Amino acid sequence: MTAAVVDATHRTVTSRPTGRSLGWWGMVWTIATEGLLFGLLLFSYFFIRTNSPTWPQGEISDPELTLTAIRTVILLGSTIPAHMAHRAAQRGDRRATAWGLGTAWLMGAVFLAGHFYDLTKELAEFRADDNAYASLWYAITNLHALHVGVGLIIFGFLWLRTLARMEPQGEPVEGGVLYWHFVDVVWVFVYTSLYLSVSL
Amino acid sequence: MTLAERPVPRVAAPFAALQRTWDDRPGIPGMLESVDHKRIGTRYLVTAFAFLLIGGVEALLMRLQLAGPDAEVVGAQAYNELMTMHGTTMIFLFNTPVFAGFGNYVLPLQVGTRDMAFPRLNALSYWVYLSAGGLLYSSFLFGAVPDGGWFAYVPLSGNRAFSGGLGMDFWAVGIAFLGVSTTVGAINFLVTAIRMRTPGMTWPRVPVFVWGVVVMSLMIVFALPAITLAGLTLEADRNFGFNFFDAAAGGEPILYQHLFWIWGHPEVYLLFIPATGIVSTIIPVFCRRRLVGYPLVVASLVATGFISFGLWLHHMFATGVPALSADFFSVASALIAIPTGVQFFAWVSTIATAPVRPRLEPPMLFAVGFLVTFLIGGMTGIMVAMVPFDWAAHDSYFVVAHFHYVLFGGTVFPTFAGLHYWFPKMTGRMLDRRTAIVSFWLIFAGFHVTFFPQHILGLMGMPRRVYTYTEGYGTAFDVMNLISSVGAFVIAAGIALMTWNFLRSRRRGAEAPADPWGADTLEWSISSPAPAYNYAAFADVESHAPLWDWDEGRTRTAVAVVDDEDLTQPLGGHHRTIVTSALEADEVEVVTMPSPAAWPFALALASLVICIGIVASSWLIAGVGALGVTVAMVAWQQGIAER
Amino acid sequence: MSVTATVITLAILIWLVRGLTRRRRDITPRWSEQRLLIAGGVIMPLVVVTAVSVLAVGVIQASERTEPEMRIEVEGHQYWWEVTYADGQETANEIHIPAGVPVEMVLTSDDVNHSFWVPALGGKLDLIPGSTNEKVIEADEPGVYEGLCAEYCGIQHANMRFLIIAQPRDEFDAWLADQTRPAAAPEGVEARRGQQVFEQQACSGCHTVRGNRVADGEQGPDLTHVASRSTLAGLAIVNTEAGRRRWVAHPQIVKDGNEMPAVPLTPDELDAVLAYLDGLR
Repeated sequence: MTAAVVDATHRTVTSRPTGRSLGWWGMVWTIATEGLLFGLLLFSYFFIRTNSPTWPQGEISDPELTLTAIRTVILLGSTIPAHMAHRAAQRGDRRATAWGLGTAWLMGAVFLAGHFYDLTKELAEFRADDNAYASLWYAITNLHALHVGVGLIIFGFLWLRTLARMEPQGEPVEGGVLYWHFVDVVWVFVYTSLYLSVSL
Repeated sequence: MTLAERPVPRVAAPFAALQRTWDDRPGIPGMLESVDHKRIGTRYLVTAFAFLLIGGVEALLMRLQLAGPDAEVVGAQAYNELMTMHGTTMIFLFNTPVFAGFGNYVLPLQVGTRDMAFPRLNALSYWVYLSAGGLLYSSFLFGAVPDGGWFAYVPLSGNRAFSGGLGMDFWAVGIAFLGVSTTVGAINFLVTAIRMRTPGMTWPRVPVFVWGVVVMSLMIVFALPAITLAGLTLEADRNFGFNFFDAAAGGEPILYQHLFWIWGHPEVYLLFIPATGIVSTIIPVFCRRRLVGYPLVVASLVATGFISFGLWLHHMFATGVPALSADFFSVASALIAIPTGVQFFAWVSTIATAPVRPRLEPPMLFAVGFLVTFLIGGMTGIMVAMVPFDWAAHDSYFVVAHFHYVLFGGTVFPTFAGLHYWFPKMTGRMLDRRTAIVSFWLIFAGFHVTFFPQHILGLMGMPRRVYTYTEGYGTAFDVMNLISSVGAFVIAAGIALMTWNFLRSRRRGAEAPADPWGADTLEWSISSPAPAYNYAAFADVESHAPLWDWDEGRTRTAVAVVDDEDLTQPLGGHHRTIVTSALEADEVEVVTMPSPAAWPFALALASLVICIGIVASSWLIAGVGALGVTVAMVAWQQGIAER
Repeated sequence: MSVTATVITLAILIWLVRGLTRRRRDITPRWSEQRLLIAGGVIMPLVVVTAVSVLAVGVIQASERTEPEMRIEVEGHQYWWEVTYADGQETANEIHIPAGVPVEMVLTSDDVNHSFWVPALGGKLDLIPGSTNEKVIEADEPGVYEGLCAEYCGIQHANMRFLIIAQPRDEFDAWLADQTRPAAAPEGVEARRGQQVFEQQACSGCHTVRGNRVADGEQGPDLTHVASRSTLAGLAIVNTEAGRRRWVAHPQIVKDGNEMPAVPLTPDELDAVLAYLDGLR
């Protein structure tokens, strides 16, 4: 140490890893605040639903279950390759990381494609300005789809980086996979509230 | 036992090479690129202060209109616009950001690190704040000033039929946009406080102000989504035909009030909490006495944060809530008296048991002014928390008086205390003491003259948010309104004097020593103004008042990272600092921080374009903005990938 | 409440003064010094809060119990109050009630949120479109009580006030019976011409005059007995001949931004309409 520093004694330490990355911590709080956003949207949904004599309102038919159930299974299933990508990145296995990310990306993309297919059918039947049910429906499903889209962008980005052999890979993959799990968990709540509890 | 007895400065000449590495480029590029938390913090403070002045002028115009019965100074429409913008400005554009400013400037210094955890996101927070403020105020240029009240209740604000023009669109989009800045800032504070504390700074050794910012940030993370959602759904209803709040189409107008107050009540406390952090910083310093009951004060901050989330319904007692929930919220609201009482008595005990006569320097004066004012605001707070009293006082001037005692007394006085306290560290200059004292007395006296009579006016039945009142309420009523208006101008004189003091002292004030107050936290161990890199070596601390430990003769220790990671030397021109483990802050890891970049600025600007597109209902403009956002984000990533 | 507040304040002042006179030497607080903090900051607020909460809950519960003897529907409009009695009698901004009788106000809104507040007769309750709130009020003594809108509702929120006119029971019954009859036929040439103008111009599109087949508008107040009221326009105008004239001729000057447009009338037509309105007692 340079002598100019002060009349202080020095404790010598070695630089070594100190736990989760800064990015992971940032992602945790981002997920907390985003989770609240979805929570409040679902609160709004049930608040309006409780005070509404009919549900769905107007002439709108009950939401369709079968196709959405398949989409749900695919999205939830994608957490497995995502998790495997995370583990692979931690032990530095680039090949397995790329496979995991790529598979999760594809499954997410199928889910999103299903959402757009669903959307074209719903738009033929009702629009967001029809009534409060319709407004909530489009707001919640599309906001979730937007999050899936962002997840796909993140995974695509991580996948390219992994293929391009950029080091180190562990930290960004850690944050990205955490976000993906979050998007999946949110879907469980959305699916239960908007689909299952209405149609069953 | 004053500063004269202290050996200062503790750190000798700055390290030239470190300085070069951390300094911004000169001129405008450096300004746009800067990720220096001190520069960003100062910008926040200056911008927020400017909004305080604007909001203050709006208040003066309102008090002119209300100075006498049936006055015709500004008229109904302009009054409602001023009322809306005064509330919006003070809460959203002054009060919340000013603590982001203090947090930015002070938090990294007090935890002994070199920068925030996410420097570029930090720059983004500021630029988004500036853009959102600009967006809201650009409404004046288009003659479409928001006029639905700062709370923007529906259906009044949610439907073009009741609030025509683009005024409330500016409001809704501006508020949702501003939420990005606040949230990103809060996450940044949290991660900085969790991971970047100097070695040895375990959680029980974290300075109280940092605790305040941490609790504030936690509350922001959990409360802000509600106002963001309120803003977005409001705009969706207004501009895109959605029906969240339209009773005729199956929506629920009352839902908006829930969303607004789920955010709004914690908001009041999340302003108050860092403000008390400032008070808990200043009182011990000027009494030369460690804060009495530090663990209890910290526990109170956390408790206040928790309880405040259970109280939103107390803003809605008049909407017809069931008696049982009225009971619950009434009692829960009053419960907040306990953590507040703990803090209050901690300050009083600290003053009462000080080993020296408390020094009434300007920061301390403002802190004492806070104590007195806040005591009254707290009392009336317990009163309005009681439902039967609230039924009578709600939406009357009693409430106006109450929340100005709590917000002006509880957060603006501490803000001024903080500005006077840290001014020497920020500028390297001392404020003129006499001017500061005169401005304090003007503001303090003006405040009570303005707002005390409003309690009585409220009990006499004067409702809030009226642009005029008729003759015939009696002379006492008219006179009290006049007194209140006169008081407002006394406050204005005080704030004008204070502003002048800031401007003048910045250039001509006496040079400030490293530690003009004999303070106890780390930021006073480095030169004034603080060097760009903050700390050449990282202190190893043993309490929340390390400078006083050293004064008392305990060994002063700094951490040296071995050999090639010597952090007193810059390496390859990178910003490098250390992160430590989350709980004990004992493990140390050297990290390289993102370099300065203008991409945060570009991203904020592009986002602003999207917002303009939404307000103007132009998909073209919004699309251009979205394209800009994509470009800025990709470029931002590239910049980080290079390191 | 104020007694408690004073005691607390005094206690704090005493502690401050004591502290300023007795000095200790060390920087670091001793644990024993935190007793003040616990006594003043925890125990004292706990006692005060418990006491006032018990009181408050008692009042809330008590307020639930009153059984109303009659119901009056009150609908808020920007910026006036529509008042409807059980048998369809309609008036505006002046709510007659029998003194000494608990009366339930059934509150709703036609447009935005308003709030019903008569300071002398108790707390306030909001009027919200799409739902109803009920509030029981009771005036012990006959008299006129001023009320107002206590929720910001737009540009003329300040001029959305009303009167509660509490009358002895028999007087109230007579008034209500009188309100039940349709409008009196215009008397005299001027008033008859006024009725024609009223029917032909925009007036009849927004205002109802019961007994007049043309005047059946719903936007504005029912004018069947308008001349019997003491105020107009949410109390912005005293209902004299001069006040009515000013209101009909310049509604946007008297109450900037309200829903009533300035109807272009010649001076003759204005005189005639006023003569007609004067007959609506």
